[in-house]
Parts: sequence; structure tokens; C-alpha cells
Amino acid sequence: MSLKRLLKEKRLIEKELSGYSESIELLEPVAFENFLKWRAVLKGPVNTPYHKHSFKLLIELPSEYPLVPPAITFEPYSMPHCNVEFSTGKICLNILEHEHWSPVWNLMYVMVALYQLLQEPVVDSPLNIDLANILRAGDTSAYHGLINYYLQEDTATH
Amino acid sequence: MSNSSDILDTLTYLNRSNQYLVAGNDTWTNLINLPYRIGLSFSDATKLQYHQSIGQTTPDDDPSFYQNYSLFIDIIGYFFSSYAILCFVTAILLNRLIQMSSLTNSTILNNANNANNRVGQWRKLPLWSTFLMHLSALIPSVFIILQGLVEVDIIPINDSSYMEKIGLEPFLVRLFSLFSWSHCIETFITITSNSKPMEESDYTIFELSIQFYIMSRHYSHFSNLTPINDNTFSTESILRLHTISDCLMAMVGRIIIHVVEMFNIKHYRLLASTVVNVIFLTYLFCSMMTGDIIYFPLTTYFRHFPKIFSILIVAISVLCYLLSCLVRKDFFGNSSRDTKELQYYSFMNNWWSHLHCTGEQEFSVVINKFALLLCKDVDSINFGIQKEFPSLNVPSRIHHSFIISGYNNKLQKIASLNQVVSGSRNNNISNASIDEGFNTLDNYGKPDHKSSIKEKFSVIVALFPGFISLIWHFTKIFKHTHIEVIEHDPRPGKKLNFHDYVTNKNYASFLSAIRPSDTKTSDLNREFQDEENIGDVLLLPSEDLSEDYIPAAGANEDEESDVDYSSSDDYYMGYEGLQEHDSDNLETIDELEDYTDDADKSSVKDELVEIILSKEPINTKEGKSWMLSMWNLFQYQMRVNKRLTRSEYSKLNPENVLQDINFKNSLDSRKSSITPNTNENDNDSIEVLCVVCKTNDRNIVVWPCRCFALCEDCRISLGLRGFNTCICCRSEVHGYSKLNRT
Repeated sequence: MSLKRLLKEKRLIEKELSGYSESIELLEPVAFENFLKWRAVLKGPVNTPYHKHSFKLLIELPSEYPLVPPAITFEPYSMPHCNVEFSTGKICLNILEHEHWSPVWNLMYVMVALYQLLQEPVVDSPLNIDLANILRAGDTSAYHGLINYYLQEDTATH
Repeated sequence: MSNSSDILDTLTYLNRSNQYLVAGNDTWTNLINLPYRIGLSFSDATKLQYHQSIGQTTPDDDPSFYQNYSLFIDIIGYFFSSYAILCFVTAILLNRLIQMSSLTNSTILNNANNANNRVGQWRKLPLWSTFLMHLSALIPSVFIILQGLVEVDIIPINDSSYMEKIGLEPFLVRLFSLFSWSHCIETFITITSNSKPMEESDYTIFELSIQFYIMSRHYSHFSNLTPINDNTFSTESILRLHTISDCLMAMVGRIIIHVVEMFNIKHYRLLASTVVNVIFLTYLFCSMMTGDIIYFPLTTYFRHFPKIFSILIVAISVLCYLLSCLVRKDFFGNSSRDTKELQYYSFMNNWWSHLHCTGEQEFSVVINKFALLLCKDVDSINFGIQKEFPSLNVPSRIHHSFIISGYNNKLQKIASLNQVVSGSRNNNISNASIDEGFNTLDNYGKPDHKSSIKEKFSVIVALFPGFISLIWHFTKIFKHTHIEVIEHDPRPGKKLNFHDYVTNKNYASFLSAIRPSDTKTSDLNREFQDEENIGDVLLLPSEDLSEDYIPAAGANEDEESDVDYSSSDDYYMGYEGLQEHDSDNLETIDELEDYTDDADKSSVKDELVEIILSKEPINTKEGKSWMLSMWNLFQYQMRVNKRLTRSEYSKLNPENVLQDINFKNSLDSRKSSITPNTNENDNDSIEVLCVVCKTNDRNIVVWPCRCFALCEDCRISLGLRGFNTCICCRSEVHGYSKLNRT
């Protein structure tokens, strides 16, 4: 069941990806023989500190995929964000949890949701507590500065 | 020619011109003889090939060849045997019956929407008819069992008895056809009463057909066997006894099902089936002891030995368990240990609930399941063998909303409620008949009711005063005006709603068959009686989507711009309205017709010209389609010189309407095919596919949110995973209905 669905999803993504060019740079299976591992690249939204950066994502689909949410992480040590654990890339997003996931959604939908998460960080369920605290305190300049620091260091090491 | 005769000389088996089935040399005999000759040549060639590959001996002296050959013929012959044909016909029939059941559900709903006293054609069958049908299968079954007993000399024949031996072969044929008949009856009754046919795992029709075929081929010489005296049982008689005993088992199984369904005591089936099986297995066991077992037909082994194994497993396990309990009990000291330490303690205490037994299953199913449960050890639990048996998993975790189709019943109840309500609105139905309505409403969709006799009695009691009051109303109605006759159709059940029978294909025949004979009538009464008929008779395709009668098109575009309610009412009665108008609507139709009859006829032509001229330029797209849809109507108006509403027009010449619509449809389809759409197909196919698997068509509606997004497979997997909210709208799910595409 899941394979056929994934094939369709892939076709749909190939068709629709051009329409999301300002948000999603890449969304494709890692290897053609294995549809259960995908990779994606999200672009940083305008008017956020992530602008002009892009972020790699690893997507692992369980074999029961549409019934079970996909496991999505950012690349470790690449994403400073309130709802992303910096060291692992783990994402805190309710639609990726078991009880909130719906089989109706697909990868494209999840990507769009992640993009929205970049635009609007949710302070109330943080995985990166430092960033969340700064943001909650309303210190935007410190927030921007810290993120820029992380991102530049990131680009410098690579 | 010489070339071909050479071949005939070398390969002699090709020349079969001297063989024939029917004498003569005209076309018809050749038609029969030719395939026969080809077959002969083929079989000879096969023989020759086989012989050449085996060795030097001629095929005629090789006994093993003939053995194999006859085996081959036996296998092929099955497909041409009466058993096989009967089996396949029955299978198709059963399949159609089940398919039909899904159709009936939808028609019931449609009719309820009509709210015009039209009762669906396939309501629940009256109780007496189910009784009668069950009896029609039961009585011959009992008879055939007696016949079987006569065949094996258990019931002695004397001169006064009506029975006589008919031989094995006719017996088998009768038994098998009766078996199929019983299946059909049972399926028909159960699906019309909204329940499932009982499963029959021991004796399936297909299995029996093969078994009987083999029997009839191998033991055919029994039929001309001379009666044997009781003292010396020859092998043949034992063989015959065993054969027939197995057949009787099959028949007894059917009888149990019929009796159990007739008296609505389905949960006793297991009990009855257990008793019968135990008797038969004991018989089998006894014959095993005496060594007669080899004379049983092969299929009997397959059928009954698993049961014996299962029983042994169960017996041994229970024995072990009891022994272990015994060991733990210290009768002399006080140091008895708790039996709860035993691994199987919880299972043994709740074995009945672990079996998920409703009492409607067969003995063999239950015993096999029981044995399987007992055989499950710790390892297999860890490695997940029970995954193959999802029903064996902890059932409390599964949410039933996706599993149990509760809404199916509820919806039909709502349907019947509608009818009762609409009936009382007409205030022509007495209290008694409302009671009757609720009575059927209560009975509806509950296959296992308390007691069918009680039910039957209450229905009769409720029906009697209702019937009397109905007769009384009949007489009352006919004293009043005709209008009342229309408001209340006194025979709701007999009124045929043709819409239920019409498909795209047979549509035309319906039109031509039932067309009102006189088209023009000035008498008012006559007219709206016609109108009433038209509602049933004139059938228009529901997918007619031509824009012109959408009210938004503007009053000035309509040909009756001076009649202010024409556009909206026309919309109702013109096309769709004919299919779902109710009694309220009828009244407005009457008024409307009144109006148009009195309307001034002289100015029709002028008006028409005016309308056409005032139209927007014809070369725009809307103008074109409007012109197209109206053209025939205009033409007709000119001819009869009378203003017409769309409904009148369609009443007067239905063929034209059909033509118009067909024309328009073809035009539309051509239009859409011209427009370049490469991805269109892909999108469309996704549209109707299940949103979860994107593979199957959607066919599940979830209640109460009515989301139509799932397929049957995904519904099951969602249900097993414990989803209890709708995947689309997140509202809680209480049930589902399955739709079938027709």
C-alpha cells in the first residue's frame, strides 16, 4: 500500500515542486530503489533570521507510512530554532506526532507546515530553551544575533 | 494437394474423416463432427507423443498410460460436468444477490427522500415469505436425508412406503442442486434482512461439486448394484454408506442453518453443529477402529481429520492443565499453591471470551481456533504469530467506530421514520398504521430479534386495525374530490417508481413504452393526473447540467418573462424536479398550469421573436449554448402556438428532450476533449481515490461527519490502529457506511 502511495506522491511532488520554489528547494527520495528515505532542503523565509540560508532535512518513512507520521529531522547542528533540538535536529511539531497525524496529509503538506514553523516559531513548546527564552523576553536583536551567530559558524565550519 | 496427402499418410492420426458422431454430410453434421474429429486427432497425437517419449511399447499395452490418460480426462471432464456448471451458476447467482443488496440500500434512501409515500421496492421481506422460503429448502432437505437413509438400507423399504431407491448418481445430483438452492435462499433472505449469510467452512459448494463429480465417476457402477442382504456387508455397500453419510452431514448442516434462521436463534448454531459433528466424528472413529476408514472418500479425510487433531490438542491441553492444577492442590497438607501462577490460568478462565465466539460459527471453525490458541507459546507471542489473527489481539484497544457499521441500520431507520412522518402529515393514516410503521421500524435491521413468533404476532395485531382503517379511508377518499387522491396515494406499496429501474442504456425503452397516450387535454383534472404520471414516466438524465434553467440566467432570457415565478419553479419541475418532487411541489405545479392555460395565446409569436432578438449576440459562448438548448423548444412553441413551460414541453414530446440532452452532452464532451489537458486524467483519478492509500476507489462514508474519503482496506487498517476520529475533519466517528458503485 505505502509504496504505491509513495509513487503517486512522488509524481505529485515532481509536478508541484516548481510552485513552491520560494520555500522548498528540494524534496526527493535519497535513492531511487528506496522510497522510504527522503531528503529535502528548505529555504529560509523572508523577514526571518533564516533568510538566505537553506536547511537540510532527513525524512524517514516507516513502512506503515500513511497511517504513521514520517520521522523528520533537520541535519544535526545546523538549525537554531525554538522548536528544533540543535544537537540532534529533532523537530517539535504537533502534526508529526502520532496522535495528531492524519493519513490525509502528505510530504508536501508537511514541508509547507515546516516552512510555516520557520516563519512562526512556537515559544510554548520549545526544544531549544535558550532561544525560546530570548524570544519570549522580546529581545529580538539578541534573538537575531544568536541565530546569525549559529548560522555563520555553521557555514564557516562547512 | 499432394503435399497435404503426404502428411496424412505419414501422420495417420490426422486423418479422422471416417469417424463421426452424427451421420450425414451436410453442414450441420459437419459442425458437430469436425470438432469431434479434431479432438480425436488431438488425443491420438497425445497418445503417440507420450508413447514415443516413454519407450518402445505401443500405447495399447501400456497400462500406466491409460491410468494417466483417464486421470487427465477426469480432470478436464470436471469442467463439463453438471456439478461444475451448477456450482458456477450458483456462485454467480450468490455474487449477484450480494451485489443487489447494496443497490437496495440506496434505493430505500432515495425513496425516503421523495417523501411522497413511495415505499422502496425492497423493504424487509414479510415474515411469512421468509418462512415459506426457508421451508422450500427445508422440506426437500429432510426428504433427501430420508432418501439417503433409504439408499443405505437404514430405513427398510416395504411396499407401502413412498420411497424407493434411486441410485447414487441421481441422489448426488439432487442433493447438490438442493444444496445450491439452500445457499441461494439463505443468502437472499439474510441480505434482505440486512445481515450476513452464515459461514459454511466445512462444505463449500465448490468442494462438494468436485467431490460429487469424483464420486459419480468412480462409483457409478453402484447404481446398478443389486440390493445386498443385511448380514454380509460387501465393500461396496460400506463404501456407499460412507459416501452417503458424508453427504448427509453436509445436508444436516444446511438444515441447521435454515432452522436456526427461521426461528431467529442463530447463536444456537454452534451447539447444534457441535452435536452433529461429535456424532459424525464418533462414527468416523468407530470405523477407524474396525478398519473401514479406508473406504471413505478422500475429501472426507481432509474435511474431518483436522477437527480430530484439534479435538485431540484441546483435550490434551485441558488434561495437562487439570493435572497441573491437581498437582498444586495439596489435599492432605495446607501448603496448596495458588493455581494463578500457571501460565494458562487466565486463558483457561476466560477461554470463551478469548475465542470471540458468538455462537453463530461452525464447530470446526471454533475448535480449530481453540487449538490454535492453545498451541501459541511464548516464542510465537514474541515473534508475532498472532499478527495473522488480528481478532485475537487485545480487542479493547480497537475503537469500534471504524469497525462496526452501526450507521447502516440507523440510516434505514431514519428512512422509515420519514415515511411515517410524511404519512401523518397527509393526515390520512390512522394511528394504527403509524403504530405499524414504528413496529416495522423497530424490527428493522435487527436480524436476531428476541422471538420471531412474538414479532410475527405483534405485526399481525398491528396490521389488522391498520388494514381496516385503510379500507375505511378508501371509501372516504373516493367521496371527495380528485385532488385528495393525488395528495394521498392510497397504495403506496404498489406504486412503481421507475427511476429506480432506469439506467443510461434502457432509458429510451422506458420512454417509448410508457408515454401518455393523449398529449393535449384541456380538462384540468386529467391534466394533473398526467402530471402525476409524468413524474414517474418521464425520466431525464440527472446529469443534465445545461446552464439555461439556472435562475441566475435572468428572467428576460426565459421565454416566459411575464410569469414571475416561472424561472424558479421551472427549475424544480423541469428537469430535476421530476425526479424528486413531493406533494407540496405538486400543488404549485397545478397552479402554474392553470395559469399557463389561461394565458393569452395570440402574442406568443411576437414574444418569441422579441426574446430571440433581445438576446445577447449569438456568437458569444453562452448565447450559443442558450440558443442550442432553446431551439427545439421554440420550434415546438411555434407549432402548437402556445406558451410552454419547460415541463409542459417535456411532457408533450419526451423524445425531443432526450435528443436535446444527448446533443448537448455530445457537444460538451467534444468541447472538453478538444481543450488540451495532459494532466487532467491524472488529477481526475486522484480525485476519486482513497486519500490514504491513493490506490483504491473511495467507498466508505464515515458518520456523522459524512466525509467520503476512505476505501474499505484503509478503513480496516485505520480501525485496527485505533483511530477514532475522522482523518479529514477530526470529528469523532461513530460509524460508517459502505457505498458500492453501480
